Amino acid sequence: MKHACEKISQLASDQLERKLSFSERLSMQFHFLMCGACKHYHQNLLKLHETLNIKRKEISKDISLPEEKRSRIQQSLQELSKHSE
Amino acid sequence: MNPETWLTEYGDILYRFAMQRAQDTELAADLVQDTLLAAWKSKDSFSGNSSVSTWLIGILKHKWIDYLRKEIRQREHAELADGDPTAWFDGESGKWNDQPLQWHDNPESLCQNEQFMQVLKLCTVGLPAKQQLVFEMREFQGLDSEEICKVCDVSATNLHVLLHRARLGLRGCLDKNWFGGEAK
Repeated sequence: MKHACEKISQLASDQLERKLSFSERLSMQFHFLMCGACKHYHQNLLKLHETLNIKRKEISKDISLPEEKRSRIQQSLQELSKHSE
Repeated sequence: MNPETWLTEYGDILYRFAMQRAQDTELAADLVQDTLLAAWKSKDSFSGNSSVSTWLIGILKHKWIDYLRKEIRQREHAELADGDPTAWFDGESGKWNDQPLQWHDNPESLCQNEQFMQVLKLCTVGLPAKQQLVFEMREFQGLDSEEICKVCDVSATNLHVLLHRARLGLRGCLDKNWFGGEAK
């Protein structure tokens, strides 16, 4: 099968973007039985995806607008309100 | 409805939302500032149908998309430099030129590892411009495929190819600069 790994690696990436068809999933799983490299690649993509998912959730909790940035924004708001008076 | 209190009341909510997307303290603060200034200017158009925080988040979303569009325009020219995916595979056999390694670390430990996150950032920055942008939107900021297609004005098929190439490139870079070192 020519270009098999290239096709399978595209499917591995697509799986994170859309629902694969039954035959696509089947051909991927079948290929993994013979090809450790693609199997690892698939697992690695899932791992990377999950890593960044966790990271993103961490970022969103427990942070607040730093004080120096807050006062900078305060200033620009005050200027705007002065101009519009 | 008092604009002076918005910063006090909603500053943190807006900043958190901006950080989740931009992941850069300067950029996030700029976005909050732009949002509040825009909200101040159009305060008369606030209908009161939604809460103030929902209204402000809506404006922030627009500001963020404006920012992304500007980034995309700047990168259009770099499109020609898009990586050639066939380089990862042998033209004859269709097999990997260098085989992906097995990553043993779990996501929980990887995301706590500052050094790994640093290497990942560097590898991402090293991707062709458009691949980098869509990958960041998708995986770092957590937008879904559909949203990215809308913002970037590309078809789903094109986006999937870009993401596929980005992931091939990142795998190569991470194997070389991170996982390969550990396996030895």
